[in-house]
Amino acid sequence: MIFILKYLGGFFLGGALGANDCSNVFGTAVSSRMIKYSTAVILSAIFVFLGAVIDGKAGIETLSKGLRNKSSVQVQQSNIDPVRRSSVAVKTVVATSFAAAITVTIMTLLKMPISTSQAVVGAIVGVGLMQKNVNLGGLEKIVICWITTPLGGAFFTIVFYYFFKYFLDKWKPSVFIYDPLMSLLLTVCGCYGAYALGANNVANVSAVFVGAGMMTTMQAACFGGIAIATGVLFFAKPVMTTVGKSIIKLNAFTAFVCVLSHAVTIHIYAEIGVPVSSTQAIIGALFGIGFIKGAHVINYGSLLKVFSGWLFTPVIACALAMFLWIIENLSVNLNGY
Amino acid sequence: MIIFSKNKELVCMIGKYLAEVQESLNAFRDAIRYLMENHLDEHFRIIAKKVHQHESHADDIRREIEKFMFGKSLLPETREDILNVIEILDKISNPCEDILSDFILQKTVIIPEIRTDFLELVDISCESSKLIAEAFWDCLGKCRKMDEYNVKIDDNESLGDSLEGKMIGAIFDAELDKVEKIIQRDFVKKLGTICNICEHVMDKLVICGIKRQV
Repeated sequence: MIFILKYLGGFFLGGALGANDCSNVFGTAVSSRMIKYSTAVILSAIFVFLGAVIDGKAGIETLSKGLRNKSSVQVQQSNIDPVRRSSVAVKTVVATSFAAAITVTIMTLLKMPISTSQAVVGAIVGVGLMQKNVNLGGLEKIVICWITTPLGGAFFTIVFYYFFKYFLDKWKPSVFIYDPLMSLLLTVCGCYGAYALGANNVANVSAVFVGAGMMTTMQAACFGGIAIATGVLFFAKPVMTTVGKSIIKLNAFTAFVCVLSHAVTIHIYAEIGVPVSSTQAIIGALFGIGFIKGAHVINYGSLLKVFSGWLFTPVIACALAMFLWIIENLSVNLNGY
Repeated sequence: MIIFSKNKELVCMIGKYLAEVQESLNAFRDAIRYLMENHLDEHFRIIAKKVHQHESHADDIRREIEKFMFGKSLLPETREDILNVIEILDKISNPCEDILSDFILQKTVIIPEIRTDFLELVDISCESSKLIAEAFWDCLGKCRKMDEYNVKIDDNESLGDSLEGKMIGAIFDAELDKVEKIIQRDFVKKLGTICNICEHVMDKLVICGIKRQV
C-alpha cells in the first residue's frame, strides 16, 4: 500500500504538472486555432518525455541535493534508528508529492495556470514546518528564480519580437508563404518548448525520489517524463484557454514569439539545473507582448486570476502538506513503516 | 517546401475567381454599350447570358475555394478574411445580372438624357472592380499599395455617387410618366451599388492589411 502510495503521489504530481504546464507550450497556438489540440498534446507528450530523459538530469540532481539539505533526508543524518529514518523519508515524499499534486489539480480544474515549482516548494515548506526544520536560506535562490523567470520571458519576447519583425518587414512574404511558415515555426517552437519543459520540470516531479534514495537519476527522469506526458495527453485542455486567449489576444507572429521566449527561458534554467516555472515564463512572455503593444491589450481580470493563483498555490500546498503529514502520523502503525 | 506548394492551387483558384468576376463586369459593359447603340435583340440576350454564365462560374469557384481552404495550411484568421472578402466580391455581379434581366423582362431601355452618364458609371464600376482584384492580390502579397488602391476606389465611389445623383435629377426632370421615372431611377440605383460594394470590399482589405502587419 505504502509502496504504491509513495510512487502514486509522484505520478499524480507529474500528471498534474503536465496538464497545467503543457498549456504554456501550445496554449497560444491551440487557442488561436493555429494547431489542432490533438496534434499539440501528442507532440508535447513525446517531447516532454525526451526532454526529461535527455536533459533533465541536472535539475534532478540540483533539487535532490537541495532536499537532502532541507527536509526529509536530513532526518537520515540524525541519531534516530534506520527504520524510523526510512519511515520519515517515505512519509515526507508522500505528503510532499500528494500535497503539490492536489494543489496543481485544483488549480487546473479552476483553469488557472500556476507554477508547479511553487506548489512543490510550498509542500516542502509545509512538511518542513511540521518537522520544525525549514531552511529559509534555501528559499532565497528559489524566490529569485520566481522573479527572474517572468522577467526572462518578457526580455526574450522583446528581443525576439523586434529581431524577427525586422526581417519580416524587410521580406514581406505573401500570406501563402507567411501562414504555413508561422504554423511550422509554432509547431517547431512548441516541440522545443515541450522538450525544455520536460528537461526543466521533471525535477519537480521526481527529484524527491532521488533525494530519498528511492530511485537513480535516470529512473527518476524516465518516471517523471512518463508522468508528465500522461498528464499532457489526458488533462491539458482547460488551462490552455486561459493562457492562449484570456490574458492577451495573440496573432500567429506574437504567439510564435511567446512560445519561443518561453522555451528559451526555461531551457536556460534547465541547462544550469534550476527547475523554474514554465507558467511564469509564458506569463512573462505575454507581458512582453503587452509591453510592446501597449498596456491596453492586456486583460487585467485574467491577469489578476493568474497572480492570485501564484499567491495561493504555495499557501494551499503548504497547508495541504501539513494536513497530510498530520494524517500520516496518525496512522503510524501501517505496514511498511 | 511541401507546405508552401500546398497553397499554389489556392492561388490559382483565387486568380480564376477574380478573373471570372471581372469577366462578368466586362460582359455587362459590352451588353450596356450594345443596348445603347442597338436594340433589345437576340444578340443582347446572348451577351446578358454571358454575364450570368460568368457569375455562375464565379460562384462555383467560390464554393471550391471555401472547401479547399479549410483543408489547407492558411491560418484561421487569414482564411476568415479571404472568405469574407470573396463573399462580398460575389455580390458585385448581382446588380449587373439584375439590370440586364430587368431590361429584358421590362422591355425598356435607358433614356437618352442619362445615357452618357450611365455608360460612364458602368466604366467606373468596371474600373473599381479591376482595382479591387489588384488590391486583393496586393493584400495577400506584399501589402505595399493598399493606400493607393484605397484612395482610387474611394474616388471612384464619390464620382459614382455624384453621377448617380446627377442621373436621378435628370430622370425626374425628363418628360416621363412617374412609373417610367421610378424604373429608370432603379436602374441607376442598382448600377450605383457596384461602386459601393467595391468600397466595402476595399475597407475589408485595408483591415486585413493592418492585421497582417506584425
